[in-house]
Amino acid sequence: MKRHHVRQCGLLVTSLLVATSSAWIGCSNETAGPIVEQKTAVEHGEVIYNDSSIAGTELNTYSCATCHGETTPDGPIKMGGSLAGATKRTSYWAGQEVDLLRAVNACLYYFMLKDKAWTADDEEARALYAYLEFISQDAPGDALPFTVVTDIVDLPPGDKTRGQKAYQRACATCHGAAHTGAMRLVERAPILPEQTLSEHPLGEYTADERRLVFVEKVRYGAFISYTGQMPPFSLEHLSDDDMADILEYLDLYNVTSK
Amino acid sequence: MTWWAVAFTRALWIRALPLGVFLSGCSPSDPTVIFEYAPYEGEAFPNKRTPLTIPEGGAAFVTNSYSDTVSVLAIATGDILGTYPVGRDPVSLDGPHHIAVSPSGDAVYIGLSYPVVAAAGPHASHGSSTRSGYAQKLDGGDMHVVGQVRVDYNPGDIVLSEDGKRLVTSHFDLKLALANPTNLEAARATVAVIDPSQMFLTGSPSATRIKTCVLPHGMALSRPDGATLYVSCYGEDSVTIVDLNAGQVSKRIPLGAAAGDFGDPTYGPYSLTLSPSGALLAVGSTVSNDVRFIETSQGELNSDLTLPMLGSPYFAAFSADEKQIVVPLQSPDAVAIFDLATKTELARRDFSGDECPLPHQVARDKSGDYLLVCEGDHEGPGKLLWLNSTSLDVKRSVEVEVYPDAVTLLYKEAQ
Repeated sequence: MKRHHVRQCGLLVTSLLVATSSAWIGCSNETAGPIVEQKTAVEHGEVIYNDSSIAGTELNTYSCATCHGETTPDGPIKMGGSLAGATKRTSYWAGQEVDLLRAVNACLYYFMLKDKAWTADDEEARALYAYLEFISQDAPGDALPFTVVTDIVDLPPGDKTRGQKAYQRACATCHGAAHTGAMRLVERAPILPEQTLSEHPLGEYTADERRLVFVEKVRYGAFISYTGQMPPFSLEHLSDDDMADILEYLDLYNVTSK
Repeated sequence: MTWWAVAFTRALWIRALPLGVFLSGCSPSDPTVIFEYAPYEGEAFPNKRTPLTIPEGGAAFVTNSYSDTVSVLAIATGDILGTYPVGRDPVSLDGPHHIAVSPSGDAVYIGLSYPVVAAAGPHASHGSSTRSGYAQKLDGGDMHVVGQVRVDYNPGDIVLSEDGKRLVTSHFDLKLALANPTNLEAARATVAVIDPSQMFLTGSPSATRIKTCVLPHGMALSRPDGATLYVSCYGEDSVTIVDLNAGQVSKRIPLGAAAGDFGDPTYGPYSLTLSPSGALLAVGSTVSNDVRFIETSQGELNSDLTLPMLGSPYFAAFSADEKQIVVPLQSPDAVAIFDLATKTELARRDFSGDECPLPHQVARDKSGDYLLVCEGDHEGPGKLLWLNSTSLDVKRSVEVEVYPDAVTLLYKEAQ
């Protein structure tokens, strides 16, 4: 039986809230000592799924839920797709991984900056598996398509209004509001587009290349010629049209003077 | 969505709502809630891989450099027994380059070279994708990764001693050579020597690095214990002998009197193949387009035995009796058999169209036939060809994945 008192980092605040919630119960009942609640492994897994502190580093603010889940028409784009069905799938990461645990460890390492890989015996890994198995019960087990765009080409200008919405759905969660970074999830995520443009100055890059830097980073994420902790957006999760709309919203078809 | 909504489960969020009430009304000694989670009792992350069973007649292991996979084929039938993802990175190309299999078949070793793939994009030309290579160990039972060791940039060849106790990678580090055009010692890259029993998923001991020569590539180990390593040194027109027990270079053998200055090879030795008895070492040179031979007992070049080639020779194979050698050639693409006593070409097969683009390595099957890796166009599938041992007629052609580079064979009785 795992006694789960307080998790560090992200869940520290959670635990504080839970503790104070209990305190309210305690006030009413005038009961001393801790209240023990029995939870299932599935419930434990759900907590882990939503907990950024599993990475064990304050540098990370992602949880599984940041990138995984159903993408709704107006909600954030979940570039990792839904994990319902994950325990039934025979491959992950566009076929590059055939072991679910290795696929999970890839997320932990590349995006959540966790250095030590989970094993199938680790309590947290087992609990997460319990949760994934639970949400997979009624889901299909087909591997999700995930087309990584490696050939970076310029795109015709898109639509600014659509781009604003696409930005909110695809970029704002991590990068915050355009031009200010307000409410960004990841402190080190650059403010778009200004910070990225300043890192790719005219002279060193042509105007077209400065625009393509955005396409490249979105498509490559933390991979290929890039580092960082950004997941790549596959074609299935962000079309070239959506990409062009975002570029237009960020005014990146006119970057010569910035 | 704010990070609060991301970080908390819905249940916990609801619990948090009356926060203000607690903070104003309760003392620090009030009870807290402790969650006790039941352990998961099922099998977490079950292994769903299909076991790899080596059939009668053996199996051929082929690395697919641009697919990040290893194809395993039945030698007798050509059936693909499995195509296994390998590497460390789920998105970028890891570039599985060359391959070695342990004598018992319980482990497979590959070198990950992280190639710089020509692609569009503003950073493609900045050379920023240089990454340390890795030697990776796969379980021969189902090809899952069981260990890895960081090595230097651009692993070229990977060889395993016959006793399975020494694994060595060479590093064809062009960047290092170009960065040190006038400093021979600085331009010399290493070979990395690894204890295969000490390869773990994390925390593997570092490889022992031995500075060897400029652009070391093809390698061969003496049998059975691999105490002596032979390395083709493309950038120095020589074969270097490394005493692995001493951990140092013991001899450099120039490939001829016309050996060029470093960085400007006259011969460009690229591939090495040790004969079945270990007496002869075939050196394929892709600048002079010839195969030369070293007598290992003397550690000297056999100056009477040079086989000029029509194209650039790659990784060759000896016949069982060591009287013949089969050489894959590029530009033009062909494969040819030579008689070593008479230095004559016995047969040649020229490839046209997509029959076998860029032949790269040949291996001799126990039946005497040869299996030839054809790289293809590096965008679509490459091939493995079965060739008649005397006529070089193509007996079978099987498509594998993108940019197959190397082949090694394993027989059931070895398991």
